[in-house]
Amino acid sequence: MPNQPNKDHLLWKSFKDGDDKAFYDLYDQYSDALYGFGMQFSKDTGFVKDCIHDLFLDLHKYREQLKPTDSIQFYLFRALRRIIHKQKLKIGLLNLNRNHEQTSHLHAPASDEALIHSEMQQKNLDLLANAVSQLTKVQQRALFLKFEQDLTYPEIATLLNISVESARTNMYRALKALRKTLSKDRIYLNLFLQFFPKR
Amino acid sequence: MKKKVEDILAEEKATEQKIKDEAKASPKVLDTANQLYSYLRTPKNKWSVLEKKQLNFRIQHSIETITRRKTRRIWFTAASFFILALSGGVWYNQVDQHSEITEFANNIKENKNDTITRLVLSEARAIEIPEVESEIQYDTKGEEIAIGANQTIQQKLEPVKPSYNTLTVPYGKRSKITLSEGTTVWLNSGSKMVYPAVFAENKREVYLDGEAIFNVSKDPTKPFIVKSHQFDIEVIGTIFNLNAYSEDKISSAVLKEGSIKLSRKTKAYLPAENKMVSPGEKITFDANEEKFHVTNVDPSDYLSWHYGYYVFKSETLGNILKRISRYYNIEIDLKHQQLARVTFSGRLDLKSSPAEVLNTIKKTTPFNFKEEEQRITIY
Repeated sequence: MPNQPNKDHLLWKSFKDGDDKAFYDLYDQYSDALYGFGMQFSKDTGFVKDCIHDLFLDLHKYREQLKPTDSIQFYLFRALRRIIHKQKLKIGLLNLNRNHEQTSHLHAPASDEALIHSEMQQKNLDLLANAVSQLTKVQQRALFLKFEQDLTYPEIATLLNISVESARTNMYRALKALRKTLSKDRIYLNLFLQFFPKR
Repeated sequence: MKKKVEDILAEEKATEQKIKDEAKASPKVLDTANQLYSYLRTPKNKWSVLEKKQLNFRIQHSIETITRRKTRRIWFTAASFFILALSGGVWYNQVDQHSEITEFANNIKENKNDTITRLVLSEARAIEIPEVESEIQYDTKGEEIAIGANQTIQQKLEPVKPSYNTLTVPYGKRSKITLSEGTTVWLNSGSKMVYPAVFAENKREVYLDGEAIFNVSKDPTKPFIVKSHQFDIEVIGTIFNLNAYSEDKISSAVLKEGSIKLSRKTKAYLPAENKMVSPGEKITFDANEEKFHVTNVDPSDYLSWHYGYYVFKSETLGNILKRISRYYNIEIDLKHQQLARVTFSGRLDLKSSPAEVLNTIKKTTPFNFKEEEQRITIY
């Protein structure tokens, strides 16, 4: 989702001014990204939804006190990150971090209408997904924020609570590891490419 | 130095175009970079449109429960008046709740003494259905209608205009109908439903006068709206009972699954009053008080009638007799009005005759009755 400073600024302002439609527009526009973001921190969909729910209640409650922003997406990610962190502490971190059970979920879901690919492609995707799951949590999250959400290194660093330098290093290492998997396993995703329209 | 895949992709603004224009890399490296880039950009954790809409409903519901915002309502009213003053009639038209389907429903001539279930198709063609418990099923195009097991009827539909069909179920009869998009509706005695043979592109709208259970097929792109004389109900996919007889002052809805939104329009120039209902809640609108009430109930008690029995928990005899009277199409006379307020709890099997049903109630709630043809007197 590309940043749209002007539009964002206006939407945010009308939401702060008490426009209920703007509030639900915010939800429509950003809840998909928030869900993807939340899933980077927990594999429990119910938990992630609860946190998004709490986030929007907070937004509604404190709307008048909120600061102006030109990047709603970044703002909301930061807020959701805080809520997830708070809730995890409450519930007990250990219960939620059992993500190794669900590594197969990391590749694009089969329900995706674009995924009409042969078994061959599925195997390649699984290999890539598996390679991603071997990366550290920070690396996985950095990849998500950069490639799925188009955030900058400074933004990624803030969200992951690391330095910009560390964000860059993590990204580089993650990409290198994935590249090696690709060349080692000779994966060819050409067909796969055709099915994903350019964004 | 030749650039590697990770050099290209790690750049601050790596885009498809930039990868393509990369001069310092071999074609093979570019190819790999492109593949990896596409994979990384594909959303991995997606939720369904339905999940998204359900969470939206939940948020709305929570906000409403938390903020009983009187000040805001005043502000809203003030703002609405202001806009009304500015734009006059145009505004009035925009928010006027009288939709085409409500208009259509109100223009149907009624015969309260009718004793036969009637299905009115396009071009006002009426089909009589003699069964006490009838079953009607539309095909997906809305053109072919199966009635019971043996009868099939065709209707011609105009391509542009919505063709409204009407199902009228008299006292003493029930009907189960499956609409063209898969929603199943059980209509209780003395009920009328208006619906288009095929639904519009963006919404599904029906009108109900009476009582019905809706099992709404899930389609997040087309909300299902049930209009009634006191309020509208909007759902995505859910099971609920709606009791909204236009001759009654009290309407109620009970939700079994999913979530529903009630909205009531009091004045054309005011925004609608919205209420969210969760599973296990019963929402009642009382015209005497002009207010909604929410209570917690066991939803199965309110959905049981389509299995052939009623379950009552401390229900007044007055309300129970009204239901029995509608169900069997008999007149019930209460000689002593104080009996109407006596309560009864228990299960009433509706397959037996009205006299048998009354005998069950009599066991715990003492009264006498005598039965004449189509008329029972309680004293």
